[in-house]
Amino acid sequence: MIKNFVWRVLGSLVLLVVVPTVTFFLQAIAPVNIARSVLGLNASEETVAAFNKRLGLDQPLVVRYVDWLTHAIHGDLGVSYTNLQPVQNIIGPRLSVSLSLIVGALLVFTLVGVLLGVLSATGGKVVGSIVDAVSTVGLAVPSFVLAVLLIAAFALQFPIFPATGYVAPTVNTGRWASSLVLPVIALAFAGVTAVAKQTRDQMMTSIASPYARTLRANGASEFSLIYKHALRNASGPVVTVLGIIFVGALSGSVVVEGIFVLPGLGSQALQSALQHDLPVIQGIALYFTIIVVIVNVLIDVATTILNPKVRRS
Amino acid sequence: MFATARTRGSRAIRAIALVTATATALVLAACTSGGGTDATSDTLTVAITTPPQSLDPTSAANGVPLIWYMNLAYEPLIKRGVDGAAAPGLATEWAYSDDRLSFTMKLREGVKFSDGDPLTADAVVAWLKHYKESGSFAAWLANVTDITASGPLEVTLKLSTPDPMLPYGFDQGGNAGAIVSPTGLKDPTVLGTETHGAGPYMLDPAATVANSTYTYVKNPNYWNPEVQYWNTIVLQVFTDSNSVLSALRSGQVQVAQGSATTAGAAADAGFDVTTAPSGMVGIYLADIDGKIVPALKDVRVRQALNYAIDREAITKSIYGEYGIPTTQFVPEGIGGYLPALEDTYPYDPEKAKALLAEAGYPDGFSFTVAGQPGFDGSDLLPQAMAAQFEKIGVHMEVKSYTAFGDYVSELLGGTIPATTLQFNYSVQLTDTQQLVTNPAVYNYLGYTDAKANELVAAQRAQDVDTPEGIAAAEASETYMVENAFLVPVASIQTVLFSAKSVSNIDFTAYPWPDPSRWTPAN
Repeated sequence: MIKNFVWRVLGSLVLLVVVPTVTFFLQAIAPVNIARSVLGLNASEETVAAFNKRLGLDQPLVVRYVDWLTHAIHGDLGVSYTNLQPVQNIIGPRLSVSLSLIVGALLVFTLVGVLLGVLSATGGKVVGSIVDAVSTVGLAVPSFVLAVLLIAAFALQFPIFPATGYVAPTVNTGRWASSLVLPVIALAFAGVTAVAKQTRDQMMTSIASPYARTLRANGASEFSLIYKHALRNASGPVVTVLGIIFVGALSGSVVVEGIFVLPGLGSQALQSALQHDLPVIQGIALYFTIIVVIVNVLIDVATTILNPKVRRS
Repeated sequence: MFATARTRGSRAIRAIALVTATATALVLAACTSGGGTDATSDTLTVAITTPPQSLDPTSAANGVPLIWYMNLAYEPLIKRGVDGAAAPGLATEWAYSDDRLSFTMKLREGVKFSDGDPLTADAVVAWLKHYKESGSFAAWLANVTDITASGPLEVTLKLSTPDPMLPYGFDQGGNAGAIVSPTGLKDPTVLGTETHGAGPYMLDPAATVANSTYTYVKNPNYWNPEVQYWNTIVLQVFTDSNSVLSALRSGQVQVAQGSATTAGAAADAGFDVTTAPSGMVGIYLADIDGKIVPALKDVRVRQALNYAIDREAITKSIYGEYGIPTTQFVPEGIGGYLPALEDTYPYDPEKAKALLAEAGYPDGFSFTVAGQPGFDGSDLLPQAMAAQFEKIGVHMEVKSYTAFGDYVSELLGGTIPATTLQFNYSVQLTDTQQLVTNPAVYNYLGYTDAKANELVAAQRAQDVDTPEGIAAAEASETYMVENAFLVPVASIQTVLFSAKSVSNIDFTAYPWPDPSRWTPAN
């Protein structure tokens, strides 16, 4: 098992090099004059040349890549083409915003999704139908539509939460939580329904299986049967789904951050892509890769702990 | 079995109760911590739709709204009033010499930059030299041959040929006059994250998140504290126009850069909608030499394109009440505008077809247009025009771009004969010398029209606002319209939304609106 785990971590490290490399070359082959895109049509040829020289854009692609990689390994992600700020300084303050949003969404779709799934599997026909109906709506309504509806209802009609913006937890913890409620719901909603569906199906299978009948026959309480035994056996595939939904939430965060005006990594990625600000895109790709790798490792660990069969193999 | 069902049911109820309790607690926590409005009376928060191209005046863009990032922190040499009249800024007096080959400015005494440096002639000379070398709009200084300090507070520029545009390059829209302190200029890389100007406010880097929130606080050294109306001005970047309205309605922002499409909703919600002409939109024909599309070389073909456009209908459908159909390059109120020129190209597809046949294109022709991204209606305008060209047998293929940089790169590739264009209003001379002369910023295929170059020289011989200057501007305007170098469609407007708590939003076509002028209502 430990050997497996080590292999997974090593594989992840390879991913940390592969993803930024692919993004680097995909960005670089786009037929775009970066200096012109930053300096505009008005800039003179001399200004453009000076810009290219200052940022090393006059170097061949491979030289630029090796240069980027060498610096990145030493923790230096370069400077933004547009405002010449170090990339770390741009990403740093935005990372906490994105993590607040994404981790918040992860918690919500895990807890609420599992709870709804269990209720739906065990609560009889009516509860099951309600959960099914909610799930279908959740899958059908895109996060940006939900976001607009949430703002209209809970920020404008009933001004409970702020319509836009982010408050750092160091400034005011209450307002930080308040500024996250609507974005987290918008981002997590589709995930909740997917987790609920998965949990429900797994739970149905578990409850109907022979070991559950044996437990019941031996006088195990229904609570112990559902939450201790059936849920544990159902959890493997659910945890795997969580990983997939989490990665999806990373891209969903781009839209949600835009609507709620949250200064996170997603909105910065979009902005930098439009400006062809390659070092910033590289930096964000690297951070997103690290986040995905960490989550995948955590999911592997969780699966191992939850499933004795995996543990022993 | 019944017992089990009851147990199961009560567990479920307990779980639901737990969730409900948690949700209620969250909502209550949000209520007690006041999740609603953020604004304090001494902070002005402005919704802006575009992050800065750069905070460094050297490479910053201008126009609405990008000039706002400059206006707050950098005091220009010349500060125009809302009516457009030049008034003292960091310079108190300025004048051209009799032969118009030198320009002298006297600087204000006792001014300090926000970083504490004093304003001196040497500081201004160093900045202007730096800007001439690498500024985005170094074209302002293209005819300047020498910049010297002719006294401790006096700067003189020598010119190779008369150029009346220096007072425009040095005003609050020109960026060349956004003087940077010697400390800022010593290491220009700091200018991307800090401001080193002599303006009423200065950037607070600690409260600023790049591409999202730009917080400006009072500059303690500002020479005229009376006009520092706010303790803090925040420029908050919004990428979604619905979010702008939500933020306005919930009181999170007080002024927002709006658009024709959302103006109705803002007015309905009780906000003031303030507008002024912002620029001309239409198609710029770059291939006047007919290198890519031979038909465009013939003036009759270009005139046919102008007759083919139903300006009334297009303007009404895209811009509603926030656009005026036009065939000209400056709006009423700016020297060079001639009411009679508006009748040059009435909508007349039959006449257009006749002109095409006369020019040898009875069956029409095809050409490609690059769609300039990012202006109000930029996605709809080329489509609407293409549909009308189709009726006279001219097929226009539209290429679109999501990013401005991609669009610029494509133009410079030299394969695109025309582009849609929004051209910001300032004075008529700007249109002549940026559109139809050679060299000119927009003349990316490099055609030369001798008459246009003559007309621009005539315009440059005196100040633009003198009777002679206006007559020369009218001559250029007439020539550009009659020879159909462009296909103008509409004069569109800058639209600002504001809450009742803010006053003095009014502005004109030029200078552009400036947040440092906006005042608290009480």
